[in-house]
Amino acid sequence: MFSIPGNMKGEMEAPLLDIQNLRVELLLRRGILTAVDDVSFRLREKESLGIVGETGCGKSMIALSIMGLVPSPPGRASGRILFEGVDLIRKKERELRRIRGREIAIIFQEPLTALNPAFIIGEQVAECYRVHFGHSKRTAREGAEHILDLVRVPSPKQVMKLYPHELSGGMRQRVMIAIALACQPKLLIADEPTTALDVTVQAQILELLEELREKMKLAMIFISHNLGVVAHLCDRIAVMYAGALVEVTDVESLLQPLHPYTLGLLDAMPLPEHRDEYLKALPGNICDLIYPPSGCKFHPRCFKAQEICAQERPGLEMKPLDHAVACFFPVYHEPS
Amino acid sequence: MNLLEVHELCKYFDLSGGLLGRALNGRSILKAVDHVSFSIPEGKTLGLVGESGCGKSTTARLVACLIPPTSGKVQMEGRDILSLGGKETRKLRRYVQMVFQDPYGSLNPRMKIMDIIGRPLTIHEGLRGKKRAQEVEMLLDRVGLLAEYSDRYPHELSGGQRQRVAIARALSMRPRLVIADEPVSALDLSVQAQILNLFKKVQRELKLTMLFISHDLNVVQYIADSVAVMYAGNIMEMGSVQQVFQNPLHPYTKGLLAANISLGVPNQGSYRIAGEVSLPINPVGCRLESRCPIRVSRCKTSEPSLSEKRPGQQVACHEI
Repeated sequence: MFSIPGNMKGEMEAPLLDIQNLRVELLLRRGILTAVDDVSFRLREKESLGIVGETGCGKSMIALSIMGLVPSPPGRASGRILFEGVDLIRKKERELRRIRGREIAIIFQEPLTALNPAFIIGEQVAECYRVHFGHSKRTAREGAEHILDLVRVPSPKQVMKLYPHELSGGMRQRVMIAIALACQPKLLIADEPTTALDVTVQAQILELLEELREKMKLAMIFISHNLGVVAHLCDRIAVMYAGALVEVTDVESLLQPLHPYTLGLLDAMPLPEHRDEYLKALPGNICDLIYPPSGCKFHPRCFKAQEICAQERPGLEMKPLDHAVACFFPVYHEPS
Repeated sequence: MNLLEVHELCKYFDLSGGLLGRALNGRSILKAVDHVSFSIPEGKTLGLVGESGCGKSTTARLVACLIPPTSGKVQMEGRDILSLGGKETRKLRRYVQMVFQDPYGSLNPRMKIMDIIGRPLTIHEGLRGKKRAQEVEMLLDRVGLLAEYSDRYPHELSGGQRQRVAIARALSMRPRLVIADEPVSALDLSVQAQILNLFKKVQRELKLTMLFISHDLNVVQYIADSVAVMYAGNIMEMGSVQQVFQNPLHPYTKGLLAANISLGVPNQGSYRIAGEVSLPINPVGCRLESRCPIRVSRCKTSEPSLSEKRPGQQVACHEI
């Protein structure tokens, strides 16, 4: 009953990443928290997919499970994560290490915690070359200098001698990007990479990511709570609510959403033309993930909810071509 | 009539590190807020925008009398609130209330909601028992919370609900001026909309004057009547929301607007501000000089002052 949304044009070639029925559960004292609930999607080479959703919707958990970084216990991931046809969930830690950082790289939100405070930048960047390619110290250093130059760190030779705390937030994030791209991965996962940055710096980093993606032919999963940033950077967008994908669409169709939740998010954005009115805020709060509502998890907040929504969970289905939605009563079906 | 007038407000922090540091490195003074002046007419909202470290929160704290200024004047209805004595200040404090960014940190975790909202009522109005409970119930209703919440602790509430409690606490004193320091930044989009609506509603009902601080340009554009753009301790541009957002004059405002990527709002072109904010320690000349795309030589030495370039729109830039 779960059709797998993928870009139709890409259906011919094998996808780079094929996630099937991914489920991540956290075994907590209070009960089992389902952080990712039956998520399936595909990503072609060179494609960029944005995942948006509010706090706790499971977007970062998807990133962590692709990297094999879900802490276990309390975490438990099931389903299939096929990367170039190989299932990452069933890989051993040792085998994963060969892929992690080399084929798939990740950038986190907070570069200051992701970088090791006790080592200089040069060593941390050069480490990738030494670990993954077995380069000598000297070639690794040259590689590091080159990649720092590529992410436009000014005077990389000097910066390599500095410790993370001596750099500004934007510069740290550039270093993180350099480390991620050092091994020329095929897939880059960016988990809220600009959330901690100021807007002018955010604009610089986004511009850089866009350019590098083009240059290095990267596929990218860009995770953010900011719809605008995701729409600006990605080809396709997946909207998550309470662990599940509720809508997957091209950027162009995002402004005509099918799912009531996506519509609610768009309506909640404060726009200058609505200055004199109240915003159309979604009622209520995000549901409890340990004891979620029955059926569609969004139904208690949904203005279109009917009886069936509380009983059955809607699967993600293609409505028009390339636009998948998990809803019994998508927005374009006006109730009669 | 202006409810709040701020004249040449300054807050400097001495970073020299004692006598030895001063002897070795000379004096280093961080000018967090430097000669900032603005006014808010009664019942209106001034939005204060800027990136982290630009001095917007320090300005809020100065206006709320939470920290003493280095120099300058803050007047409410013509009275200088900084020069008042202890008793008078306390009386005045109730008319200036603050809502903070983090509703997790600003509510006492050991107090029930009833006491969090009711405490100021006891202190300032001597309300106790049933009367106080009634008042708290009314305030909870005003901010859209059920009366039963008064028996709960902050940790039992969601972020949005906590921010409602913080707003109810601020409103309990029937303030004239509410200072909101990034009140929706910690909230998710759908909850943010609820809280913005609440601000709009109580402002209409109670005719509140607000100083609304945010780094989010869309939020300020939605909620404020006029806006001041701060950078490194200075106000760079100030005017009505329409003027500043539609016809920005200062290069920093232009860069800020161009960097504001938001769905449904047309992007203002590729005007880029290079580099990053540096702290205004012993600043000379225009603070934006190193990042400014239209800088000239005198920007390095002389600091531009805020002057009216269009009716009602003030800009601090030599080149405009």
